[in-house]
Amino acid sequence: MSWEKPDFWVPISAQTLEEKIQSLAANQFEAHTETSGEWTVYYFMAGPLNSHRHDFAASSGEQVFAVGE
Amino acid sequence: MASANDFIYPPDTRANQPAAGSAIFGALYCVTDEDYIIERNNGTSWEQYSTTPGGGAVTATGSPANGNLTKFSGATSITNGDLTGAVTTSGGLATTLATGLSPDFADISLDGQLIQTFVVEIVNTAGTLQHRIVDSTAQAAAAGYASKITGASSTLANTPSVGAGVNFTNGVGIVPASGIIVFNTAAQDTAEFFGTAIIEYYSGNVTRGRVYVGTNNIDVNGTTRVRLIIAIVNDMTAAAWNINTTNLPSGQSIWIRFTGYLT
Repeated sequence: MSWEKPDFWVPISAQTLEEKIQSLAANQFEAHTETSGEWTVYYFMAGPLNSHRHDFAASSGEQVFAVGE
Repeated sequence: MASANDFIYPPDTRANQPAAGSAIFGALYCVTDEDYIIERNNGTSWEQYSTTPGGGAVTATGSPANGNLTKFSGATSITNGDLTGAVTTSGGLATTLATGLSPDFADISLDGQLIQTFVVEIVNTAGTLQHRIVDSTAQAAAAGYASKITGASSTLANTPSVGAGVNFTNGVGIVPASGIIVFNTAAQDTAEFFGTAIIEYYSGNVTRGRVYVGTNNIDVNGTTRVRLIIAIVNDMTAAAWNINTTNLPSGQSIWIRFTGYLT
């Protein structure tokens, strides 16, 4: 089953996506990507034992969406 | 000295009862094979003189033994029996809780409140605060005992700052500057509040917090109601621990468990 974008995610710019990745990197979180269907999903691993995946953005073609601006 | 009017025949069967016409007027006769009913001779017939004995005979069936419980085996018969179901007996009065039917944890209640336990996670997901309600900090799976949190979900959603015009999302909202997490519950009975909360995990490395838990009368989206709240305070000063992206830098999270009874 391919990944589905949550309804509440909002469109963002490529620059905002880069800023989100940088804000995570500033706290030693590495952004990973996974391809699922038409989506490239951006996520990081955090929480206890870094065992929990947190999706924070996804792109499809030129469109980019994220959990917040 | 006996007279005709108080003559009493010896008790005997109906078959041996003298004919009314031949018997002494006014005599009494006890019919031994008809529940010992007493009749009086009025000169022409025997009329009932005593009340009809109550009830009928109840007889034992089967093989009841000393100490057994009694149950009806028919309309007028009894036998021995045992309780079955959640409580059982075995030939005596001692009861046993049936293990297969022992009380379901989900049904344990207190004054109408249901036992609940869950973890609320608030995480800074690349700049946006999100939350979810899960079973445990370790597993982050769906919570099995959060039925009193309306809309509770183990899927991360953006965390709203609830207030008069802002509703919950997935059962949770925050009052950021007060460090309060508000849960979408029914009206709680403050006097019967029964619960505790603990911070199980915090990775922010900014300010160490501690939590207290209780109820508060809060207007959320126009409905003012006594709701479950968890307040986070500075562990040293008790000042409000702001639930914001300062105390929760990007990627960092706080996980708080609530255990207690909720209406």
